Amino acid sequence: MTYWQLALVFGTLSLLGFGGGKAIIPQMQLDVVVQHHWVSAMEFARYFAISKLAPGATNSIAALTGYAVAGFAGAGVAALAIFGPSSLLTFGVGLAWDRFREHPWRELLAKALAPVVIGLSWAGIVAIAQGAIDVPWTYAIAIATTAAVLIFSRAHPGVILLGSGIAGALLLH
Amino acid sequence: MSVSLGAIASSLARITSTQIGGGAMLTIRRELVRRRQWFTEEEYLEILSLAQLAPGPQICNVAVLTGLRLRGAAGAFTAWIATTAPALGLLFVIAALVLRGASVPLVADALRGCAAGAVGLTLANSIELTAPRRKSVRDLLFIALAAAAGILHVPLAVTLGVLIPLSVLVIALTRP
Repeated sequence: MTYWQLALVFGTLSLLGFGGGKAIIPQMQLDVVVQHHWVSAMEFARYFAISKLAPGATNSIAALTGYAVAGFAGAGVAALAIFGPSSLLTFGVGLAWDRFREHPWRELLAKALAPVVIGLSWAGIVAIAQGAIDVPWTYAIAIATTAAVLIFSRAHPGVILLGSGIAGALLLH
Repeated sequence: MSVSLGAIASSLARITSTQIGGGAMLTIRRELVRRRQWFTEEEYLEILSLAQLAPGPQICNVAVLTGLRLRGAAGAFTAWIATTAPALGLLFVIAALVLRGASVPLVADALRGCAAGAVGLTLANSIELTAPRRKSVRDLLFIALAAAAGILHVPLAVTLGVLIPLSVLVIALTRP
């Protein structure tokens, strides 16, 4: 039953994951934290941070959630569900390559999609912040990290994130 | 010239298991176009634009399309496994270390710091994505609508189902 729910939740998110996955973070948080209570808002924010520190796509939070719910089998189901359907769809699009190649709809759709995905990435900030921002120092770390990423645009985000981890170890008790 | 499945797997697995924070998308182009010379710059751009249009992580989509073009369905499947499995394995090693370490208060605080930092990272990314569009009223409108829908917990399927067609319509109507 749990496996089916994992497959259904993450499989649906997989197919809705336009724009690379940024757009599904708010819905994923809602499904995983609020709807199914699989993990707490704090754990979800932690998984999000870990997914940024580790190789692979942010969507792999799904696999960590699956593990929390049902061990390695849960992780496997969740990973297949989040990475499978979107890749199958891409495969299908790839097969129909020639029909899509010069299609005027392609450019129009890309243009229409972009602002919607960006808006959802703003909503994603709120979703993650629910489990990550509480005491004043966490606000300070978030703002300092934002500034660091914008100012040192060539620095690796992983390095900056490690910096915020060090700040957390020093400032949060 | 036939590319071996092993070459596809090793190229993609190496990149996706060593690059973090979106670095893989930059590296993969160098690998496929310059180093391996499997595609011309133009062919790669075509793969990329399709990959961006389909749902799912771009890196997975680029990998699937790369495998498909080079070696058909077997190539696509090989590419998919190579892109997802090793990176997931590493994620689990890192997650196990970090989450187990979190029983130590100092590590737990560091992890809280990282989570707060990840909020900042996402905020910075959103600012960077929004800034170039600040002069387009249409873009800002749809950014605001989508953000509001996400924050107000409107189901994602509804948000996409309403806003994408609406966005297409507005673009089509305002075209000169």
